Amino acid sequence: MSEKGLVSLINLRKTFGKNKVLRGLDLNVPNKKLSFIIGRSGEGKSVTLKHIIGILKPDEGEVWINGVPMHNADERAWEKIRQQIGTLFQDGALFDSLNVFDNISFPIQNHTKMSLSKMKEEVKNLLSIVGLPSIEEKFPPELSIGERKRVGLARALALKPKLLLYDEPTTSMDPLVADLIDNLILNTQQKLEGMTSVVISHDITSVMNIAEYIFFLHEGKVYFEGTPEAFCSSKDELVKQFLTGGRNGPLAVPIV
Amino acid sequence: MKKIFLLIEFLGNIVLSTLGGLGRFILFLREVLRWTISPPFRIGLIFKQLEFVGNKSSLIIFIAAFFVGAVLGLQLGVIFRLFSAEGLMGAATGKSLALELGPVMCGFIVIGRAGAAMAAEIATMRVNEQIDAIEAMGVNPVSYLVVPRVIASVIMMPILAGIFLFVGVVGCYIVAIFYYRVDTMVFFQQLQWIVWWSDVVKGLVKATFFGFIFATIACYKGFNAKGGAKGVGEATTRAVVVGLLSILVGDFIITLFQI
Repeated sequence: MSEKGLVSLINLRKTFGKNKVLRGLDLNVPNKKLSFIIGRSGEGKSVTLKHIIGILKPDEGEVWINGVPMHNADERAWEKIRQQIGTLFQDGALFDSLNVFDNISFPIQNHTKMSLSKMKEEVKNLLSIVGLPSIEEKFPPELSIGERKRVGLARALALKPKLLLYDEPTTSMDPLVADLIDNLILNTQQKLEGMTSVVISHDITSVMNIAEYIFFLHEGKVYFEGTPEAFCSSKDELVKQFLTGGRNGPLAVPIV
Repeated sequence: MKKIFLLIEFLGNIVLSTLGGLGRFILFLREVLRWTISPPFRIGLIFKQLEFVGNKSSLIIFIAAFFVGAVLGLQLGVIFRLFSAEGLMGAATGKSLALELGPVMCGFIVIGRAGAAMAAEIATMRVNEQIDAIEAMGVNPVSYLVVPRVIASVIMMPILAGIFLFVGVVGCYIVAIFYYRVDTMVFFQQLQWIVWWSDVVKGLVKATFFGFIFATIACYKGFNAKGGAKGVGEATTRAVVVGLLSILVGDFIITLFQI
């Protein structure tokens, strides 16, 4: 493993039209930990995640994955590196036309020459990790939102990645399902030794429940990084306002 | 003076966005061609799309071709009767079906059925992050989603145009025999005399190009969809409209080379 760690973003800049989203972001994800990238909506959390998987290319700056510089890499190189990264999208992003078995085995079918019987066994194992046995034949529209996320997570784990990314896993969920997903993330992190996970979120309850390390984004940069304890005890007005919510503080809140 | 500058700015914006769009489409086309000749070759997916484009379009092609041929026969018969040349009905119908109506009508029908479905499906996958998920799993979405659809359309369109020609001639034959009382022997003799194999080949070549054009446009529009359900609807409409117009323009250009 390089000194740079599994994911290092250096002085990353990204602009969409006139909107400067990332303004020199430096981020070094700690290995084998469950880190959260948090911040208000529109602060560039998802844009950061898309740079880590190479769906977006930076205007300036460097992206290092597993010690390899990827900011100038071509699509073939990205396709290889992405096999080491599992990503769980917001609502699972399962393929509607494929059943659960085909969804989970999709990366296996595309990147390995595994036999069908072995693949069935593998899918069964993955489903047991996420706590959903015997649903291989179901199609995504037949699943609840929680089940879709679990299947999405099983698919993200299919190639045994070193890095697991979660894009807003608890957004627009009721507290019970959100708690279920938090437990799922925590259990997965504990079950799979050596896994580095990054969760994009603005759900402060999730952050406080399961985060081991926090990156707080503000104005396209990392404004704070540290443990949840350090985040909670911070005297910074901006951090305090984000933690407690409310209008009073340096964060401008639009009047609705 | 200010109005003139505004007009120039407006026209400049239109030219820039058109050229930008064309450039993006050419880059997309390059990706499609690159992945068509590069592994992995997704045979299973190509067969699935062959079934979708071909098999599922065949019934509507049969019905449309039969009635187009029959109506052409009815209309041409009125004119040919004036010259007591009803025997030429099959020949005239066959010639127009082989060279123009077969491939163009087939293109229109397949765009409406398969092209719209391709654009809508890919656009839905785009707005639901499914294409991002494919990419995130290290699979190239052009290779997985676009290439099988384009290959299947290129293979299936000439086959469907051939069916269209055959069934259209049958429709015309039935009208000629039962309505205009044309002799079967005369009908086919005139057909063979006027319609050459080269006409059929020219028509099938056109159909092949149309297959490539509509599938690429449908996939491109779906691939670049933005927003939610509205974006999917817009992408589908644009795919159909641009596809139809491209077939007409393409038909003119190919005909220029063929005559």
